[in-house]
Amino acid sequence: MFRHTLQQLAIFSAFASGPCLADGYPVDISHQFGTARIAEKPVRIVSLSFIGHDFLLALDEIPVALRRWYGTDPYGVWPWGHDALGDATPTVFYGEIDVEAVAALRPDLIVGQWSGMTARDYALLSQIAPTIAPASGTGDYGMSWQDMLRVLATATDTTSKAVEIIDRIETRFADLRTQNPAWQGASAVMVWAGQVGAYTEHDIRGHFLENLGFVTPDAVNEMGSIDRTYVFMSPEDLSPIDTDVLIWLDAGGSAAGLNDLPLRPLMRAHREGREVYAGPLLSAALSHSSPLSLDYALDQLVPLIEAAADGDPATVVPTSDAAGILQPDAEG
Amino acid sequence: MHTQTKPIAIVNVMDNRLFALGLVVLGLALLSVLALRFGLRSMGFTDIWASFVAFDPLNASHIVVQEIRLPRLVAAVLAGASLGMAGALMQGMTRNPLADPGLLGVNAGASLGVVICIMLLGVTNPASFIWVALGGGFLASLIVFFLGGAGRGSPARLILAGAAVSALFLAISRGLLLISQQTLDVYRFWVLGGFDGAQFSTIIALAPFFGIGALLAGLATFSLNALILGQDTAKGLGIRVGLAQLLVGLAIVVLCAATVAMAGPIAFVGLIVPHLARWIAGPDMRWMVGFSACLGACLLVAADLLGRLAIFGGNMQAGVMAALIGGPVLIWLVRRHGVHKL
Repeated sequence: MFRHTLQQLAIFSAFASGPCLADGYPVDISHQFGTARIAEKPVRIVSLSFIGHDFLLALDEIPVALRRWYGTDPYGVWPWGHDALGDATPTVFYGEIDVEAVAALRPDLIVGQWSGMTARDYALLSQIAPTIAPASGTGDYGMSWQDMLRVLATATDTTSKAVEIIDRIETRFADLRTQNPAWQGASAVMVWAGQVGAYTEHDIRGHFLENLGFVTPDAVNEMGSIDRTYVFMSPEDLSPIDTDVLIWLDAGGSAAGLNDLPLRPLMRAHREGREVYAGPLLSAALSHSSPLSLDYALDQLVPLIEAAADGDPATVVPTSDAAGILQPDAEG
Repeated sequence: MHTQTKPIAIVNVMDNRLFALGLVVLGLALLSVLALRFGLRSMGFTDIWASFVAFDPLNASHIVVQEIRLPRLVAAVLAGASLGMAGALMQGMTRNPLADPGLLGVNAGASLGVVICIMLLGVTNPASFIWVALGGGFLASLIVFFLGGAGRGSPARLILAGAAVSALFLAISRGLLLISQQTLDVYRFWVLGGFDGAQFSTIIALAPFFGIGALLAGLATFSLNALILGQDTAKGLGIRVGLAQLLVGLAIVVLCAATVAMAGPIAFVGLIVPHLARWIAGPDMRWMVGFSACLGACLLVAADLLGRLAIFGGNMQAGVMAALIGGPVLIWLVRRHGVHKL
């Protein structure tokens, strides 16, 4: 609370008398590769995290460059970020981290909490500008959205906004947990259709399910590690993902492949209508799990989970029906 | 060549070849049983037998055998046999022991065709790849054929033209893949998949092409025996060289395109298998191609089986595994027996 007031004071004084010592800076942010010391409020932020621009935009910080992950948007920003991006035209990176291109932008802060940056990348990037890597012990893609937002807020002096966002979304999750006692402790997992692979509890998508009260099955968790949060399933054994709620993610075009999985008809999740097909937009919202995408993800997903979790094939999950992946007798 | 003067010896050679072919087929059968037996889901031979004679659609083991391992096995057999035959034909036609379908541009052409197909048409089903794979394979082989002197150049020139066209087509494929992430995702799954996604629906759709390819290959062997003596000699023996070459070329392109459409480009099998076959079968192309088919099937089935075992991480590509097994065998063969002049 005290710090909160201090920061507001700092903003006030910054407006009043230009840069001075009274603002919150310098701030130190420790992470898995060391500590980033940020001397003053950054104005040229380069975002290397595949989803990090969503977080910055939620804090009204528009990066000078961002990393396009996938999808058709020229800026790599999905619909939930369009309003926040406005007319801004950031430089777009695509593919591997290009240190030279980052340097050319003369950034004063480089953020990559979900970027897969290596120690070598960090050693180079941190010479260009203070660089924020994932926090220690969270793995490359396992930092929670709350922690990512908090760190970015500290770096950009926007903590009050971050606290507000986190409070609001966490309250929404808490309400959903209260409203759905049956979900608490039930098993659930998100799995990419196509080459079938599941996310462990350490992944951002595992966190999402955990926030609703679900548990990722041990059989899936044991196949991964802190740095390997995505594990392939052999079509010869789908039992690890045979959960109370099974969410199929799809970047487009993989739904038909689900019907070609020979063992899927034997799964309890399939027979009892516990499968939720998440289309490309919902899959992306879940995969971003950002302050901007979470509301959309919850709006879409919660009714689908409600239809799936009851274990009654008669309550049809509409998206699964539309995707044509229900068992034949339930579709009629 | 003393055998040609002694009829009894010919009978012996025939017997030996038949015996050897029998052994190879037996080996393939044994490998096939192992391929059905081993995998992530453990099961016994009784499960496998029961899945054939009393299939239970609610039994997971039966489903795994019949709908995962069996199509995978059939795909490996078809791909191995096709690549083996194509390699034997290619080496025979160019009279160069280094020739393989990968070196003469056919695989690169077929791959480029598939990449363009995924990119422009958004096709993801392997069975639909066949026509573009055929088109790309034909185009590449035509370019190689004309660059290589349109049948009048030396085999060395043909090989060089093939290497150049292969490199160019592969570079274009890679370039296109870098541009389009979506294409890359489909392509990677297809290329890395090997026999992972093998389905009977795909195999049945491609079966006519494998059949036609094998038939053409069989027909081509007769004229290849004459062609291998050199074009002038072949003409002297009454062979229409252009027609014979066209037949061989068609067989190679069809076999390779069908394989590429089903399992992606698999290198090396077409190179090594004919050497093994020649070692067992001698120079007669009819036997050579037959042995190449069986040995190619053995190699890919064994490679796919080993690649699935836990010690190799459980999902090593069959193509990589084939090179891992085949490489040392080829080295041993060359060191022990030398390379046969063609």
